Amino acid sequence: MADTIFTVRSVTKAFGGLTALKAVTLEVGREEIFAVIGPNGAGKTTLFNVISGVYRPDEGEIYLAGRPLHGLTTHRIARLGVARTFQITRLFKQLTVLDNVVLGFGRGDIDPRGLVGGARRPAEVERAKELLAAVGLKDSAGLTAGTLAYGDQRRLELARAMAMDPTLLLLDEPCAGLTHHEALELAALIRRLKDSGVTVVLVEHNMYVAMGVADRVAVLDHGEKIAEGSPEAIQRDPVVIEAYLGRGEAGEDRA
Amino acid sequence: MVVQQIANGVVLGSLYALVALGLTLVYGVLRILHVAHAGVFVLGAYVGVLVYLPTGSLALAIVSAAVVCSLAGLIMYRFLYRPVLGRPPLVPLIISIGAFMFLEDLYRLVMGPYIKSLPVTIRAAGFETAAVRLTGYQLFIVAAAAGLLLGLWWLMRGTRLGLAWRASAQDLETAAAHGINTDVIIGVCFVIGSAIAAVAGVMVGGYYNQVYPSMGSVPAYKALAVIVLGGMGSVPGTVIAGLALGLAETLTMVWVGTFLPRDAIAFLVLILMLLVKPTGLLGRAS
Repeated sequence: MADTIFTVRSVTKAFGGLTALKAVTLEVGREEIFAVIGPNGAGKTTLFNVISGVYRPDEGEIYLAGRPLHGLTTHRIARLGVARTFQITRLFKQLTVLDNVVLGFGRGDIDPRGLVGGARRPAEVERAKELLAAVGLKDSAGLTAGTLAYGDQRRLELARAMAMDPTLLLLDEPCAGLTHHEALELAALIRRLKDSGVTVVLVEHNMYVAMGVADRVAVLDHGEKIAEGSPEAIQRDPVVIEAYLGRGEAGEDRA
Repeated sequence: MVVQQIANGVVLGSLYALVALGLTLVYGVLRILHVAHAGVFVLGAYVGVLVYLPTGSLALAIVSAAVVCSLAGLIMYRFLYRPVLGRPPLVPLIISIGAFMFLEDLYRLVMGPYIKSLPVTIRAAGFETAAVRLTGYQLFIVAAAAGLLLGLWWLMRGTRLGLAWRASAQDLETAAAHGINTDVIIGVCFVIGSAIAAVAGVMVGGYYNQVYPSMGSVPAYKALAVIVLGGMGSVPGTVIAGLALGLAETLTMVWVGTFLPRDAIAFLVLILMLLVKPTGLLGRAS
């Protein structure tokens, strides 16, 4: 593993009596693709929401390139270099495809630069079109985002996230709802993004998608990390197999 | 007669649109019915009285009202609504109604229960033909409303702030995940909406030459009718609906006479709209 750029240290998050994350620790190397897998309800999306500031961790610390992220608001974390996509795509559906990407460039709120040069500057339009071309949406820039096919919406989410020039890209089940063919294409796209210098953490319910794209894999079950290692090692790990296939008779049959 | 009533309807409708815009902006980002907005409108009228009477300057009165009300709107957001964001919509609604009642009584206590006059005179010449007569003040109202709406349109369509604003109105959480400080966007909505309501307050006070504690009650429910009519959260819809209501009110005076109370028309139009197209003129089904 290359030098660590992203650290989650002993993060715990509970909702009432339900502990969604129990002292979860992750260390992700620079330009690594790191997958977090686990059965439904294992705490994967909660982990993303804690990292991106939607929830505050009850305990634990999160660092990106040495900077603490825990306790910051969502937009601050985004500006420090964390971009994300969502399990069910969350585009600005009534805006154009181009404007969705342009919003990733920042200068969006009280920034006085937002008041001059129009809603989108020529250089920004140029760059947005490059990003759209990179995800295969070159010809859709003028469409309303909500009219895109689902697979294209996923690509647009990726382009919008990349517009933020992130250090860390969080992908929440990037292949959910895609056909097998689309999923393969997206996996290839994710690997290309990695080569452009971004570190990727993705959560996946589908183990085989995760295995295909990730350099390393961690497994969550009931909010706890039960295993971590290379995809090959994880696939053979009896603890992981048990978590996925259930305990008791079914597991014994398989063994 | 009809032409004159159309002209009067446009003047009235411009004022309705200005008052309702604040509700639209707030509803657009927070999905909260900001009933206390009508209280801000009255505050604007009172600041207008306090500044205009000693100085005689309408411009100064309007600017002071806008500044004071922007601040009041921001304070309301910070201390009334922000603490209950994420609660069911009934919670901020009840808070808002309570705040509106509180404000009315506060004005009664501080400024007295009686009508204050706001005898605005304006140098601008009126406009008069055989069919229609508009005073300089009426022209000023329409021009000011048009100017404010153009400014707002530029802000929403011609700046990055406006783009971020429209994004936030669609999905606050996703906007924040893309580095947009949504707290600022919401604050801007309160500031702009309140400032516009303040301008409307001064103009209405001057139009009828009266300012009193409960002058916000009728605009409060008419503004609700206007934003439902326009399609909750749609700025152009609000403007069209405001004008439509103003015209409906003045034209029924011509055709139906005073048999039907003017203030009931807002609800008649509202009921018709809900029967025909519940999402409003420019609303989208969500």
